[in-house]
Amino acid sequence: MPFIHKAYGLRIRSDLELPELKSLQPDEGRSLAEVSVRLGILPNLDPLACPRFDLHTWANETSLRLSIPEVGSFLVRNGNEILIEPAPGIDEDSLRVFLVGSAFGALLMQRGLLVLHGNAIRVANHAMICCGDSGVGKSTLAAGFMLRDYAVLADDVVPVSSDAYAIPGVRRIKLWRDAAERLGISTASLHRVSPDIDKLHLPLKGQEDVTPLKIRWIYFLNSGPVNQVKIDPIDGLERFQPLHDNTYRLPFVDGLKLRGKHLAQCAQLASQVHLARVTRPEASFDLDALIEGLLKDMGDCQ
Amino acid sequence: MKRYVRQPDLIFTEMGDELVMMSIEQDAYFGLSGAGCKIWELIENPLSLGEIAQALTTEYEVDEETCRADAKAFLTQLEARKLVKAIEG
Repeated sequence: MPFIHKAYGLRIRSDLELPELKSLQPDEGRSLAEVSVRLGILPNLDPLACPRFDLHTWANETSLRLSIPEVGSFLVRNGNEILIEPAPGIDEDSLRVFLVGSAFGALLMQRGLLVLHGNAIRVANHAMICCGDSGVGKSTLAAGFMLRDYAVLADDVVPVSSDAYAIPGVRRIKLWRDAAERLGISTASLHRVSPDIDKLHLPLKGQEDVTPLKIRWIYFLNSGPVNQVKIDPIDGLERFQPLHDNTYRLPFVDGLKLRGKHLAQCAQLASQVHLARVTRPEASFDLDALIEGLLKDMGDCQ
Repeated sequence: MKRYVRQPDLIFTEMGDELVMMSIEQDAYFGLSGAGCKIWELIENPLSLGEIAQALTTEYEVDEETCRADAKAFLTQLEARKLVKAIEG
């Protein structure tokens, strides 16, 4: 019997259990678009029909194939199907890292969504998205908002619809163990992301019914030589580049022949939301000051 | 007479009052704002500098001579970046 889950407004029938997604009863969610996730042997690849575009990835308009050494291969097709061929002896958690990350990211692109790399938080019944390089503190920020009882819509993969709604999906934040400990979160009961990665799944709490929310603010977080949190609005033509650069798995866009659509998606989103660059002091990470700075800026830009 | 027209292989889209565009061939992105967008709109079909300047002077407070010089400088830049092509005759 497959496991039935719901994420991104989709009903997901999966051979692999996905604890970070909402579970449905077998007869629930029949009206949703369906995606199947199956384990098996992948069909042979025709490199002419599906050319390689980086070390681990092949793609054309309808298919994307990802082969991760010692983990497995993933074939994402037509926006409704993911086939997984696990490497011998691989654990399920390691498969889930790539399935829920890269493979779902590609599937959402195939379904016509802009996928940003960041997280999304509910503020005043709208969505705030925070993007930024790995290590700058995005997930810590999301956890900080959650500890202040804000709903987290998405962490890592943020799908955005053409009318600028952030679509909720995965119900956890992936947090480094030391970051969780600094936030005073008890880590004993948290599930480790995979044997190779010392990040923990921090389940989202109290948000069974988070629906897609209109995006009102997008922040690009970085750290620099400043004494306090500095927020600079991004205007005019400068708005395009940061959305382009913070697209989830940007090379997939090219591989899936979606660059023209992606240009339009970024431009359309940029013209509907408030964009700003946020610099936090590089010397220290004062989470309270960062959250307060963001909330004040959001209040000023309603 | 030289006439200017958009390169056909570009993908462009509006972003508020601006335009962003992409050349797949050059693997590069470009942006236009202000009067640049107006010129881009005009040269969907080939137009001479005189025709472009005339259209612009009806929209902007500028004398035709200045307008012609500015439009020429702008179009020369776009031509160098392979965003427009100049057709002779």
